[in-house]
Amino acid sequence: MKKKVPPKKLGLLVLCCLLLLCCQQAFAQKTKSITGHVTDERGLTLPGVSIFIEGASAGTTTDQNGYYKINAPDNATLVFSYIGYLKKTVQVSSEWNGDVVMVKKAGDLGEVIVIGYGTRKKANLTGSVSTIKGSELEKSPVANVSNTLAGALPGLIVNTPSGEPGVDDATILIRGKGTLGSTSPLVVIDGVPDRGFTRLDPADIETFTVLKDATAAIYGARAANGVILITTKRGTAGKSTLSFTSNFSLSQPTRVPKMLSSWEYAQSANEYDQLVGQQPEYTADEIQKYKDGSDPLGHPNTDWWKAVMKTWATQTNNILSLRGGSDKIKYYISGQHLYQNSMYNSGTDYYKNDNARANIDISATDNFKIGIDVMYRAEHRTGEAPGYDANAIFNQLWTAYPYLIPVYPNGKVGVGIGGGPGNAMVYVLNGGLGTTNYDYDYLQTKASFSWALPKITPGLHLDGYYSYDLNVNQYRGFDATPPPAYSYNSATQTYTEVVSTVPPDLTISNTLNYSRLANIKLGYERKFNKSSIEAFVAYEQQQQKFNELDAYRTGFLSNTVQELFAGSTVGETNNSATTMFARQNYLSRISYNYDNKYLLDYSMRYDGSPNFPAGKRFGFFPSISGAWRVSQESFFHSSAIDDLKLRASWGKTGNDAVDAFQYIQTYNLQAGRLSQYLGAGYFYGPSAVQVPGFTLGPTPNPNITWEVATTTNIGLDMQLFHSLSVSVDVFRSNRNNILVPPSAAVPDYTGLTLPDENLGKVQNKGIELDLGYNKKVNDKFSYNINGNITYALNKVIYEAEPATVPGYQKATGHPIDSYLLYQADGIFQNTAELNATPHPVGTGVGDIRYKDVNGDGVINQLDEVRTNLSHTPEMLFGLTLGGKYKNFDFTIFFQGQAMAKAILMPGGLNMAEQFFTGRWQKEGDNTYPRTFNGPSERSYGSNTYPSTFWLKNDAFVRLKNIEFGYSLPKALLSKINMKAARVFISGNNLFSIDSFGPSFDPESATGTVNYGKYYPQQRIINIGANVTF
Amino acid sequence: MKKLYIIISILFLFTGISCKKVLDLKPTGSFSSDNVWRDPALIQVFVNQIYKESVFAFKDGGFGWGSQTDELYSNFNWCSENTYALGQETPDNQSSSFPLNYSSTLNYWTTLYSTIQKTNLFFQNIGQADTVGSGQAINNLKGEVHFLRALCYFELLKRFGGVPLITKVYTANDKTFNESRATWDQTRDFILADIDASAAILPKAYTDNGNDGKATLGAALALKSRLLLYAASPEYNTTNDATRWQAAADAAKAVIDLGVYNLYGNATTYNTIFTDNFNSEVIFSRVFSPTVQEDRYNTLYRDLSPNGYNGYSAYNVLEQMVEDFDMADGTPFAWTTPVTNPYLNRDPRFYSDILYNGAPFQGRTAEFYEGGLDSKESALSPWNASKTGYTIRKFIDASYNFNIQPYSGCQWVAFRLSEMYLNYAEAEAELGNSAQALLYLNKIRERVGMPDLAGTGSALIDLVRHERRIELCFEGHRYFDIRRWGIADIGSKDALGIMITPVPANSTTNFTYQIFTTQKRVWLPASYYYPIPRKEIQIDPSIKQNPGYN
Repeated sequence: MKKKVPPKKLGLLVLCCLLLLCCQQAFAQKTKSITGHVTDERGLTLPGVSIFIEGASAGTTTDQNGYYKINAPDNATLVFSYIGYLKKTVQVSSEWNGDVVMVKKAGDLGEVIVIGYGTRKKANLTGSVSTIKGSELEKSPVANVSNTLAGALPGLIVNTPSGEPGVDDATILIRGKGTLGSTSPLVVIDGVPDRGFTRLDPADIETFTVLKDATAAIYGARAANGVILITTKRGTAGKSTLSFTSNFSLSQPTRVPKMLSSWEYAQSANEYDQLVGQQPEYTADEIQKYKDGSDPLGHPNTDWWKAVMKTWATQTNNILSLRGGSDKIKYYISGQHLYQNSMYNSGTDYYKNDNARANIDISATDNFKIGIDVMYRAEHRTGEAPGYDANAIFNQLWTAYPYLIPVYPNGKVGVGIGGGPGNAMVYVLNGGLGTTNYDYDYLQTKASFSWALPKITPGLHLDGYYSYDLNVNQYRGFDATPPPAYSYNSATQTYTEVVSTVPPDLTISNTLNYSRLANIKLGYERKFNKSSIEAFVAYEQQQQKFNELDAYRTGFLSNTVQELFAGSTVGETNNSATTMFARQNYLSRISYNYDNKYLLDYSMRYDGSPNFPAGKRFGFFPSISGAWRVSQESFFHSSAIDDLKLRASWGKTGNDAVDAFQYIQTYNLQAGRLSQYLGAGYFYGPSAVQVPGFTLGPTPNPNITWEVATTTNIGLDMQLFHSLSVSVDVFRSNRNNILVPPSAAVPDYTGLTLPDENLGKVQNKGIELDLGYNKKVNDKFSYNINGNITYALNKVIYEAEPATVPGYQKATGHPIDSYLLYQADGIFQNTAELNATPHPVGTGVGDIRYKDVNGDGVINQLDEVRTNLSHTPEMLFGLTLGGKYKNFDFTIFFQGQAMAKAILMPGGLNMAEQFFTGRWQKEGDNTYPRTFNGPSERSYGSNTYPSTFWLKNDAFVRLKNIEFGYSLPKALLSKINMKAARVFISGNNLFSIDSFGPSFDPESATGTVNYGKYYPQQRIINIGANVTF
Repeated sequence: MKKLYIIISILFLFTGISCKKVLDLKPTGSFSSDNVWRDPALIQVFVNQIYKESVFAFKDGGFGWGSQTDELYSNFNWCSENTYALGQETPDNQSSSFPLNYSSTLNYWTTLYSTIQKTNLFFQNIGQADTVGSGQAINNLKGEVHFLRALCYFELLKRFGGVPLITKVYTANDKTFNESRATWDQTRDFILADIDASAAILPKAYTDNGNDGKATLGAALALKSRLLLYAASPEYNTTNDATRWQAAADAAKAVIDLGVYNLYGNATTYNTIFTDNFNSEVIFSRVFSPTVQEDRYNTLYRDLSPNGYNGYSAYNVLEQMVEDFDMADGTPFAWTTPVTNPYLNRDPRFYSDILYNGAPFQGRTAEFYEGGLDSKESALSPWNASKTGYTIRKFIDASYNFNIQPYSGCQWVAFRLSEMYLNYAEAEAELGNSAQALLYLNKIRERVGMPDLAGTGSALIDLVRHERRIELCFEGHRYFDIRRWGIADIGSKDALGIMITPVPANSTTNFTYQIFTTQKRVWLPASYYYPIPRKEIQIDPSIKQNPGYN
């Protein structure tokens, strides 16, 4: 074995050479020994700063305490360089004492970024990684972390489809959609996958990192949709810091639909009756009464939104944390209590979230460190009666007839749209029909160790962790016997009582899930001369088990005791189910760094998933990435460019997010009740005894295996003018073997329930731009501007489609989820037009005219054309303006999207008023077709065809977040022993610029058609205070 | 070096864990083929589901069809009936699902083939069960599944005419599809073969009445009778081949001659045919439990009853239907002036089948007159009022209070003896055997106390058809009867209702009657057959669409 040169000796060698060089120059110039101290702006010492004499190749570095010594000629220029800091040049002179203060670069290249199974200095990243600090996410006053992300990081495409407390998770896409199957990214929290992040206390988040390119391959089989890495805060040595933040918020829908008034409703109903050849339901006299309000009880006009919704709902969020420690023990302890009310007026609905965390680090010996992390979270949500989730409630609200009275002046509750008390919206929303209660308890624990083994060989270490996550959920749904409701008879001026005697019932469902993960990693880090090497091999294993137990009883004697024992055993059901899951992974990475100039990473992962049959279970996922820090080269001289880096990566990642056991035929037992309204199985015998049935799982696909993405990324990072940072990434990802059922290519007469098959091919490519500008004008005023823009375009390369599908309809060649739409060509204005143009049966004057695309003289599905834009935006952007003046600070954050389309249409009577006022009434009207929706959610004719008529441009710019803060002066605080105190006011979703009009939010709830029938997105106004001791 | 050993041992420990084959998991939430086909109890479970999917009942077996004919109007379009009544059906709006949901149609191409696939899977695997014994039980299941597959194909034949006859079990490896449609007659023969196979196995009755509701010999032969009657009918028997009528007569007689079944009930207890589970008239029926809700099946009493009783009036009887009920003396009803009460002295079945203005029901009389409790002027959920002035009374157990619990036990009679009499009478009338035809026709009338009929030739055929319309109303026959008789367009005549006006305005006993159009219907000649969903033809161009659709 070749004898190694210890670094110390190496340094000596360099020094000798240096001296030699100096000696050479000494012939011409006198040399002088210079000593000095290098610090950063805050006065902290900087070890390892390299110092060169300009024009010479030799130099030195600062020692552990930031001191250096160098021999340099008079008038020589010394160049100080350090990662993440601006290069500093100093002319040697007698006035200069040798001390140097270095200034941080704008982009903070010294920042340590979390990457898969490790960390890396930002300057030395080879992959495409977006990060945001937890403190940035904290600024948004929303209760759900996922709703703070839109526009905050380049490459993330985030949509918030609902504002319902407790169920307002955003959908997240990393660089858009790359597959026809599951597009969910993998989320890893503190090294453990499958931990949900949306309900984390945002104050606990230290870093939020997104791996966007092939470097995600270190997560192998689940990385194809990108990986989100979250680390939570840990203790720091030093005096402990106690921080308390309190927030109070008011929220309201971003848009409240303006619905039909009762006369408009009656008018529409009559027009519909006429359309379908029926007698009009309302006389002109009745319509007049609805219009003039002369008979408020007999002919009322109710705005159901006003009647059952609050103007503002409240939300409180209190966070306490304690952080500190010594050299031996460091701790971070925190707690959060969040409470959110719903917008239902008398609502019993609320959502509550309690988080507690303790992250402890112990240095047992110099070489052995232990970490103990514990998190406990209790979420509770009380909702309305079973069957009345937000979608059902808003569906009812949209349907509710404006000529019904919610509560009569004498306090009697009116009947609802179903006629009986069971459908009265008033009862639905105040618990009169029962309640649902959801409890989610999470316990997440992790024990880790890190063992440095310098005795075997320096740089060698063994790390490992074991996590045990327990998740206990309970659902209780109680259907109460509703109190009576009343109908008013204006002719007799009497109230008719409608009584329900439906006995109460109760469903309880308990699930207990646990996940165990073990990880062991042997790592090696060493610096040789200018080269440094980092490498590891690791093994990871995860086992999960899901247990479910549920029970149901009906025939309760009263609404009061809501436990199973109080119900009848007649008709009772119960059920249990267990599901197991496991993973096995082998992984390794080797990184080489030459002089912080040339960086190369190679990683590989060998992954096993039980979703596939033996033999198809393991996949191999390699990735290679490299970077060249051009600005580190000696030939590179630029006063404008402080730092320049080129990056490239290539690799393979997988996706296995499909149902397990699709390779064997499964038979699923159906027993008891399938839902509140549907029983399972069949009934035999005179007393109709229930027997179970089997439904079939998918037809077996013995060849099912991984979906594989091959991703290439080229990037450029730049720092300019000491204040501007620029980052550009160009990427392309080809997804093969996409797992989707080939339902468009297999006829229904086969009777098959189709399994997922490795059939699809999709290409996704795009570009990302991230800009940051920081400027400190003077001690009082500084500001920053950050902007990012993502453009991602996907295209289906292959999807199983029958050959007979016309070219203009093929999904192949178009973006995923692209619409297939009839081509609207205005509205038929007169009979002559109608007669001259092919149209579907039932079409009349005032209806949408469709193009006969294939020219066969008939309008049918063959005239639909594939559009090029989908609901998923191709472009997403964010812009942050921040600043500080004296003790005031502000942040304004705009976010938006472009190149997306959404379908918005009325989903029946009732509807938004705009559709009524804009309806076709006479020749020349062009806004909307004539009345085509009738009461009871019926519609007539072809206006409801999915067509370009209803397609809207879904581009928008939103004032996503705005915050103003004031920090109390330090002088004042020190008197009361306080480190810092800040009060702030913030707003979320204050306004948006879009083409969705007054009744609808541009972030629609569903991917296909938006009828507005969901819990709307929320605008939030928040005031808060933070104190630190 | 000691540490190195420790590390190596730790690594080995982990490798040791991995050797336990953590990935070799078995499904714990479901059964697999290995379990099912060797266990008669599990095979029974498999067959139960086939029953559930292939025996249709109230909404998909009766009212949904009735609402596309001169029987009913669908108030809520639960089975997309109005799409068809308005002539707007195309190959593009034929979605169907099991169980039937709001946007579903009765097309059922997809759901029926899905059930047929289950029957084929049964035949592919049932051989394995022979190795585990219990031969008689397994053998009976074979008979039942033959019957159920025949039932499914008959449902397809009724809707589409000849269809692809699939007996193979497709797999995920099948990538090319070129099944063409069999002819009407080939499909009939295929169904007959299944019926014969089941008839060879199934018992006349089960000794344990806990098995009531399973297929019997009678059920198989009743299906055969209905199939052969259809096959002999003008629309499908274009050459008027008399042997087909003979075969139909023989098939109906075979059921009658089993000696198992008797007409049940009389003029006043007529409705007990439907409310008494497995009574002597029932050949095959589907029953529902009073303890498990099956929405829009066993919520029937609530769904059909008028708004004044907190019901939904989901299906409204048309004036045409009401008028077709004769007077009790056997003469036809007519609006001869002045009719003070059109609901007096009618065929007793009128009172069992239809809820009309003034009918006694659940403790009061129904008030369909303008301003009455069951009218659209009612204070009680007027939006749920009948649009025609009538609702269905048939099938309802009036003693049941659906306000306490919306669902109840109930029975859908799929085949009953009365139909066999009518099938037999029709075939014999077509064959010219008037005496035989009248014998059975009059048995049906005698039960409810209606006077005997007499006649020959086409007059007799008309009498049989009229009797069939009355006796089997709302039971899902009319839609297919008017098709096989080639008179389907009468189902698209505008749906009529009655406006009942009190005179004077506050009267509850004196009314004037005015007939009005409830629904303007559109006749689409193509609608003799359902359109095949476009997807099928796009994937497999050898499947030809039914005429008139594109």
